[in-house]
Amino acid sequence: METRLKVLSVFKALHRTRMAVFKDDNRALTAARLKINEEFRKNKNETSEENIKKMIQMGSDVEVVLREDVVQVEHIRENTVLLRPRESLLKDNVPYCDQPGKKS
Amino acid sequence: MAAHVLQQCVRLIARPTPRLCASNLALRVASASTVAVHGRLSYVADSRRTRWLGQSQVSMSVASVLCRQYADLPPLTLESIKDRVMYVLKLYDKINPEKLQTSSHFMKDLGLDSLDQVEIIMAMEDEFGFEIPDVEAEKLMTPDEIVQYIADKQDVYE
Repeated sequence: METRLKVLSVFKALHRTRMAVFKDDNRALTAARLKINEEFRKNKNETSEENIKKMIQMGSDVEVVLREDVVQVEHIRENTVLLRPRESLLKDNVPYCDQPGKKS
Repeated sequence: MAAHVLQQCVRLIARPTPRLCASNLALRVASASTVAVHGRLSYVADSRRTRWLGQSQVSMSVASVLCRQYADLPPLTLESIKDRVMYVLKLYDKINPEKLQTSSHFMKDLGLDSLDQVEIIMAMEDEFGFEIPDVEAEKLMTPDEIVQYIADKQDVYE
């Protein structure tokens, strides 16, 4: 039962992020919605705890990528696009470092 | 505070410069309406200050100040909640509007699954503008239950 709630909350988070990321873009909104639903339905009969865990991880990773790395731009005229930023795209400041350190 | 605003009005009338003339009217209207509504006083006083700086469309901002006092959602009633819930449900593409009853169970009667149910709850959250926690959302299985839940949360009684 615990896992079930987790799956549903990932599903919900994905949809919420989709609405924020593709705001005002009906085509992308619908396409993303159908894709999310399709992927979840495809595996609805999965029973292995291990696999479900992996998929939950996968789903939340996708959500993070969508939220933090997908930028929406609007085509306003020829050769010009308008960037539509949102708060979740902001990154923390990374102080400059001369020596390349370990990847954080 | 109201007396203070009125006093300022009088002072403005006493020395009418062309720039302030326009805002005079605004002030008189604004202060007249604030005498009745004391709660709005600080808002009007604030906006008056900014209006002096802006000064372009005084009559426009008077209108917006006056309108603002009436800008509130109509109170929710059980009936209006029910209508809105049913409206949202009818727009959901997997529900057949003809089969939909206020008592129909999403899974047993309408053949939806838990993912659809989550989507429906999300649509309700958007419609009514507040969040429904997952644990409680899971129990809402009929339009009636949704209406009841929303009425409880928004303090609506018969």
